[in-house]
Parts: sequence; structure tokens; C-alpha cells
Amino acid sequence: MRAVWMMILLIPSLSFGHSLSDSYLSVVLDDNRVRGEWLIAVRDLELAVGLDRNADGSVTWGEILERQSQIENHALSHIALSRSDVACDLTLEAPMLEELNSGVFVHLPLSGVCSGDGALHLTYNLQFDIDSSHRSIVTLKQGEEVQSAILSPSTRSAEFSPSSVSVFEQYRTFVLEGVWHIWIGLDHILFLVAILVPVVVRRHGTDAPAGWLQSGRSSRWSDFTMVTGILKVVTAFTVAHSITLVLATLGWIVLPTRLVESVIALSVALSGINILYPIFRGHQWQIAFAFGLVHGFGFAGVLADLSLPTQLFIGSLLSFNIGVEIGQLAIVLVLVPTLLILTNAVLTRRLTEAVAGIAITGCGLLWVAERY
Amino acid sequence: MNSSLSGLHFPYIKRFTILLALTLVTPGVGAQPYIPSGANTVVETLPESIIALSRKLRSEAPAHSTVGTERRATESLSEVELVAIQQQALAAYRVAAETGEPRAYGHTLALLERWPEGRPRPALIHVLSAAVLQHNHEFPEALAELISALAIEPNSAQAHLMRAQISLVTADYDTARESCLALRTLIRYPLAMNCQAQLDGVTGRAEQALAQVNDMLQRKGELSPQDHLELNITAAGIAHRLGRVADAERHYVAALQVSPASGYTLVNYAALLIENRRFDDVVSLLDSLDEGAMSTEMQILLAEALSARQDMHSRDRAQALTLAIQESFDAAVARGEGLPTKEFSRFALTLQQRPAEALAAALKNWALQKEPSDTLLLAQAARSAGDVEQLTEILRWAQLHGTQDVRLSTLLSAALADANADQGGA
Repeated sequence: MRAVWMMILLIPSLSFGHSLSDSYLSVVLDDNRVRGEWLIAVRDLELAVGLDRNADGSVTWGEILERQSQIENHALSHIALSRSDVACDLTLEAPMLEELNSGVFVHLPLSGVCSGDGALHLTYNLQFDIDSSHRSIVTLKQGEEVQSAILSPSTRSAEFSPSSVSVFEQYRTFVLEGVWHIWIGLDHILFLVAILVPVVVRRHGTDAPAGWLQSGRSSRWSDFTMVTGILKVVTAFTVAHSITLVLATLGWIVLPTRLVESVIALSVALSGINILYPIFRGHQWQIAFAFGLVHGFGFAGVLADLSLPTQLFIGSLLSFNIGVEIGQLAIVLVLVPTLLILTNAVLTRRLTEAVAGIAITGCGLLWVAERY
Repeated sequence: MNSSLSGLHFPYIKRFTILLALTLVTPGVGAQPYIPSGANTVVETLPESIIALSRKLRSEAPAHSTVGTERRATESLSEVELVAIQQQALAAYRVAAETGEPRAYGHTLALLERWPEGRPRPALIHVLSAAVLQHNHEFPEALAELISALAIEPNSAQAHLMRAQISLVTADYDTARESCLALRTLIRYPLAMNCQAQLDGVTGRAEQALAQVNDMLQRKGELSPQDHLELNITAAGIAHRLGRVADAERHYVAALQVSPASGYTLVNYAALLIENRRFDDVVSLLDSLDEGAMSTEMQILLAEALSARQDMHSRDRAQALTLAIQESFDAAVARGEGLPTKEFSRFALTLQQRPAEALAAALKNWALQKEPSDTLLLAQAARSAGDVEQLTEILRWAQLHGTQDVRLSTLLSAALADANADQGGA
């Protein structure tokens, strides 16, 4: 917009391109020690303490060093940190410089001792008497937790208390969510069942190497191949879905939900068919890996609905993944003995194969039709 | 802010993006502290605006210290000190208006806030408060200040002038008419006429308004540089909307001769050049400016022109510029402020091809300001997003107010014809 000025006779120019006045204060609180850095724009220091001593329009490093004590006094007199009303004893170390998009900043390393306990209280008054549009972007790291605040003339203080939900509580919640999700996610369970049934059932058809036969240990050999087969399949599925769960949650790979859901349905249908007729032909673990990649995107979709907290983002994501693995392990521990019992006799083995194959294929195809 | 991210797929990604934005503007990532090699190393060349503001702060130092952070009880301020606050605020505003420096606007506000609560505020304090509020696009609040100023000084030309300008921006044409009328007896004729021509230009009398302004511009001897500037800006805008490209260009150039740094003129002239696919001219126009003098709107227009050119160097520059604009938006988010909706809308529309977000931002902007360029931007975003209902609403609004803008009418008739054909086909 434009505006005409009579009394002042000026035309205000557009201003969003000019950088606004911000300072960045980052503090780490470790027991009773604080350390961190405070970045104050050279332009703001020019206005507050006057850096350009020779008035040539340029600020040199020498001019900053010349005004170092004024800068430090100015900074320290406009900030106060305390815990339970006991002021923290703060000191600034030798200044450095840092260049950001919005200009050059004097980087002041900061350290001190806060002998009080409880929440950390910050009072901030830098620049507000000169510039009401000044803001400070403050971050406080305490253990794994990062809190932030934006300070302005109307909000000149902030209190940082450890969040009410402990880190352990938060991780526990995400572990339980992971367990819960795999238990209620019928498509994931059916895929796991379908991929494991042939491994367990076909142990009877495994030929042991000659040495094993001669020593009369053929049944042990088949048990051994079954266990390694189960381990390979479950590990492949786990590794694959963990990879894509992380990648999708970090937003590095985003696939359309419909595509993911349809391929998951297809994976169930194909594994169902594989029970009835061996189409995977001994490539069980490779197939589990390939489809596991797609199931990972499905888990990520659920995690999205849970809204990961920005604090402890990675920890929560990993907790969810661990939950999924625990849930999966529980299923395998129940499923494998059940299948072993069911497949001991020829009749029940055939029946199990037929029922599981038909039911799982049916479900898979139904989902494919629904989701496509 | 929401509008900028609403197109994203999952809510947690939205959160993650904000976190990422905070991380990007928060030092420690990417940037590294360093110590310059020697005392003579130039750390930063100060922009003119900061030099002017710093000089002003040094000159007000005595008053500044008495009414500064450790100010005395405000009720005890003497009349002399109250006059000093007014003078300092006016001087700070001069720097702000001349340079566009946000720190100078912030300083004006800081000085205005020193006015004691219990003391009656003079008209000047109301007018300056209105000016800062207007700058921050807080139009209703600015108008309230102007009404207070006019209650104290009914013949304040400045207050009437600002009220007319704000009403033109918000399309409150009745109030604008009232203010322009009041100005006839308060200010010199060329500028009073200019007020009326601006209003006529957006309410169905563009031809007559342009003819009047052109007549006035012929009377060279009677016009001050200020008159020249204002009349040329008005004429350029009207000719631009009437599709008279050569006339519009002549007036933009004439305005820039009086005030080479006029942001409003530069932005509109660059838009005219882009509309006529004169990308090289846009680049030479905007490249001649200092980096610090570029508004975000100018950066967006420059990036558009650069990306339309075929050579690799231009495209690389366009990409770098786009990234810098995105970073300035991220910084606004990190400061806890909303995005500048007009700028963000154009950015999303032309540089990011995100029509849904562009439309959401254009709508937010249009709720606030309805200059012809705002209406056009809304229509462009609505067309890209395929929002026929919105296009119909814009058409209804434009017809109601007598908007004359060939770009808007061409766009609306083509878009609505397409929509009708689609419906017919279906």
C-alpha cells in the first residue's frame, strides 16, 4: 500500500525485506550449571552502545573489541536468570561473530552457576526500550528436553520447568502405542501369519544333509532350519519396516496413503496364495523384506495420527518402533507353538494350510478391492 | 502460518516443519561462530537506515536516558518532557518512513509507549500511533487512532489523509470519499484532487480520473516534486489497470525519477514488466537496488523474472533467492508472527506452485486489504486452485464496486468460461 504525507511529507517504503531485530539465546542447564550462547545483532548493538566509533558506516572487528566491556555490561544488565528466586551468577566469555540470514551477530558465550533449584526463570529486557519490535528467541535444553520461548515487550520473562510428563512416561506411551497398533492391525498380523505358516509347515519336507541323516538326527535338522527360517523372516520384516517407518516419519519419503494401503493388502493376498501354492519358492525372507518396506509406511501413517511431540521426536519415534517389535515378537511366540501343534498330524497340517491359505487370501483380496 | 503448511500430508509433519523452521533460524545449525583475522576486518557495513537511526538515538540520548528503561514515575513527567517524547517520536517516524527500517518503526513505537497512561494524548501521538499501526497492517486500530486525532483536531489534514489512504486500501469507499472531500479545504489542490482520482480510479470512473490527473500533470509550474510523484503513481496505477501499458510505464518511470527508492512504484512497475514478459527489464530494474533496500515483494518478482530466463546462472540465482525468501518467512514464524499473507500468497503461487496455500493466504490478505492488486492476486490463486465459487464471488464484488482492471476481467471471463464448458461437458 502507499500513503501520502502532508505534515511529514514522506512516503513510507515497504519494509518486510529489511531484517527485523531478533536476538537468539540458547542455554543448556546441566545440574546447577548453565552454559550457552547469546547472539545479538551488530545493528542492534550499534543502536544500543554505538559501535561505529569513527562514523564511517562500517563496523570493524577492532571497533567491537574496543567496545567489548560496554557490550558485555549492556548484555548482562538486560538479562537475569534465577532458580527459586536465587539469581544465577552469569559471565560472558570473549565475543565471536556469527553470520545468519538476517545479518551479522556478535556471539557471546555464556556460562554460570544457578545455586537454587526447581524451574529456571528468565527475565529479558534487551533492546525493548529502543525498539518495541525486538524479539528474543530463547531455547533451553535440560537433559533431553528442549523448550523454547519468544520474548517481546509484552512477555519479558519465561519460566522453564521440566515438563510434567517425564521422558520415561512419554517413551512408555509410545512403546505401548506401537504394541497396540500391531495387535489391532489385522493386515500386519495376517501377513506375518501367512509368511510364517509355510516355514513351519514345510519343515516336514526338508531334506537334511547326509551327515545328519546318517546320525539319525533328521528331525533336529528340520527344527533347526525352521527356527533359522523364522528368524530370517521376522528379522527381514522388522528391519525393512523399521527403515521405512523412520524415513516416512521424518518426512524424507512420502508415499500416497492409498498406494501404501493397497500394496499392504496385496502383500497379504499374495502371502495367502503362497500358503496354498508356493509362489515365493524359498525366497521367504526376501519377500518379507520387500513387503516389510511397505508395511513400514503403514505404521508411519498410524504414528502420524498420534502426533509425535516435537520434543523428544526421535526418542518417541524409536519407542513406537520398539513397541511394534515387542508386539510382533509376542505374536510370533504365540503363533509358532500353535502352528507346531496344529501341523504335527498330516490331517490338521493340511487343514491348517487350507484354512489359513483361503482365509488370508480372501481377506487380502477383499482389502485390495476396498483400498484400490 | 497454518495456511503455509496446510497442504502437507500429516499433522506431525506440520509440527516437524515448524521445529525445523525454528532449528534453521536458531543459530548453532549451519552457521559457525568465528573470530575475524584482524582488527581492521569489516564486520558489517551498516545500512543508511541504521546509520540514520543510530545518529538519532545519539542525539536524543539525554531525554532517552531520563525516560528510558529506568524511567521515572510517568505521571511526574514535565510538560517539557512530554513535548520531547512527541518530537522524538516524530523524528523516529521520519527515519522509519524515509527508510522503511523496521527498527525505526519499533523505535517510534517504543517512544510512543513512553507516553504516560494518565495524561491526555495529543493529536500528534494519535496520528503517529496510527501510522505505526497502519505500517503493521492493523487497519481498524489505526482508524480508531485517527478518529481520536480528528476528535481533538477536526481539521488535521494528516489524519484525514491517512484515513483516506487506509479506507482506499480496505475498500471502504464511502469513508474514503468523506475524507477526500474534507481534504479539499485543508490541503493544496493537486493532492486533494489526487485523493479523489485515486478513489474514482477504483470505483468505475477510471477514464475520467486518468484524464484529470494527466491534465494536472501538464501544469508543471504549479506542481511540487511531491505532487509529481503522487500524481504519477496514481496515473500509472490507473493506466496499468486500463491495459495502457505504454502510458503506465511512462508514469512509473516519471515517479521513479522523483523517488528512485519508492517501493510501491518499483513493485508495481516490475509487475507490469513481468505481465508483459519483459524479464530482462525486471532484472535490470531490481538488480540496481541495494540488497538491503529490496522488499520481499521485490525479491519474489526478481525471482520470477530470473526463473523465466533460460540461462543457468539466472536459474541458479532464482533458486538461491527463493531459498532466502523462504528463510525470511521461516524467521517470521520463529518470531511468533504471522506470515505476510500477500507476499506469501504470491510466493506460493508463482515460485512454489502451491495453489491451495496461495489461495488460503490470498483470502486472508483480502479479508484485510482490497487494493486492485490484492483482488487480482486472489483471482489468480483461485483460478490456479480451481475454486469457481471464489471466482464468482470476486466477479460479483468487482461488478458491485465498478472495478476496472483488464487483467482481472480477462482472467475472470476466461476462468469462468472454462468452468462453464467443463460443466457443460460433464
